[in-house]
Amino acid sequence: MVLKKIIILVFLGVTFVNANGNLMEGLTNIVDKAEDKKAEDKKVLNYAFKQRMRTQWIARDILLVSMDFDASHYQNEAIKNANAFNENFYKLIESKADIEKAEKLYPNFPKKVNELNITWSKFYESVKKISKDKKDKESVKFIVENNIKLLDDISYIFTHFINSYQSSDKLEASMAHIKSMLYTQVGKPRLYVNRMVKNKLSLEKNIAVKESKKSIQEDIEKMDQLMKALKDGDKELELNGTEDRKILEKLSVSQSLWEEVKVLIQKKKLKKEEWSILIQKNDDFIEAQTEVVKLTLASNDN
Amino acid sequence: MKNKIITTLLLLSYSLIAGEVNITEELKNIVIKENGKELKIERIQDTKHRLTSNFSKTSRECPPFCVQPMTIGKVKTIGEIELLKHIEEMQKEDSNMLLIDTRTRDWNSEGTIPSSINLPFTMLKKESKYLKKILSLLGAKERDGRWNFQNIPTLILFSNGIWDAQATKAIESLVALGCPEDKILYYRGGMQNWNILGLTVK
Repeated sequence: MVLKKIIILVFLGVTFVNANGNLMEGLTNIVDKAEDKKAEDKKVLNYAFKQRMRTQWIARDILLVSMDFDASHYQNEAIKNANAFNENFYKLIESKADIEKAEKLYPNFPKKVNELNITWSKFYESVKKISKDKKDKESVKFIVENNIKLLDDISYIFTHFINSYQSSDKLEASMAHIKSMLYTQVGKPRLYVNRMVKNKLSLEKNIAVKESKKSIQEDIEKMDQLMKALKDGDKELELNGTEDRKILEKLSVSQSLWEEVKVLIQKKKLKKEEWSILIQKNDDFIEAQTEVVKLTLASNDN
Repeated sequence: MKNKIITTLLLLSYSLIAGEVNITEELKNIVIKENGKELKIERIQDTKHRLTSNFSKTSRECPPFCVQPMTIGKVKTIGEIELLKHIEEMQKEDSNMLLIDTRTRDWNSEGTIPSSINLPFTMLKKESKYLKKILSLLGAKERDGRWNFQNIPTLILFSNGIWDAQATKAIESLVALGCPEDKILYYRGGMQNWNILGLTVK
């Protein structure tokens, strides 16, 4: 009799534990599923995010090729970045659901995507041509003249995509805004440095002298403000700064590389070996700042 | 000499007692089962330990990170001692309680209260496409578009603490759906207080 009671009690206990376990497991599965969707959304945003930097990187490398500066290496680099841009761009425009989502808020969005598609197709073709023939002047001209338009177009897509992903919940949207500002700003130094080096190369080749000088000056100021803001915070840029030791360590690496880049960028004329140093420091900076981006994305330092 | 020895012994015994960081005078820790393994919930024993994490911050942008009221409607607010008692009770076979971390996953994945489950506040909103599934799993029954919460466990909700509205929003959503306020408990201190007391985080 006692044994029977014990068996019944044990059975009831196991049933309860299972029921409770099932409840926890069931709820966790639902949340995991929702989070998987969020992670996918984040990936789409990351595709757009890296594209801005690539436009200037490709243009820089094409200018280096046209100057016969380690041409075969930069022919390869340019096509590598163009292929990556192309792959990510098509992932974005083939995602009809994402475009429809953005279109609900911005009716012009599909039109802008089409425009970007046309500009990019010509841009990509030009990079392909230069990767085979470094003397293709027409293609160099097209890239020099259109890289900023490409950057502006991709920035438009990027900004509007982010906005279309904003939650309808005020609290969640507000929390997400703080993060999206940080994520947007932390990647920008890579774009600025690429653009400055590209403009420095344009000056060297006597292309768009006035605009390039102006853009360099503006980018130096933006970089100084942004690098300080990432560390200490800045109300205008909507950044709170960071106290994360690992991020601060990586930021100081980026900062010292930026100081070296700045000195060279501000020099009136660079010797060949100084060009080599500048290009190397530019690449080192991208690598260092990418580490900052990775740590920032993984951190929750609000 | 004798006095010196007595004084030394007294000081030594005092320092041994003083060195322990208990939860209350009577409670040193509680032991729970988490994923089939025993887990001790206690305070960090190092009396020199200081927070260096996010929870050492005094100031955050408000909105969104605004100070929360002590009570939400008629929902009962609880502190750490009550929460620990409930966590202990949840270990019993006949317990009918669920501890819910209402924060979004990015916060939750940085550490949470042992035995809790993550159910972000956004998923409890009326518009959430997961709401039906969640409420059904909890044991609520839908009839003519209205939810009956009679058979759900008591839900203990928390988020980051006194400066975070995620738990508040989750409670408001549940109450708006018809969940009786006495089926909900609000641990207002949340992860902020849990961390400041050095309690075990999973």
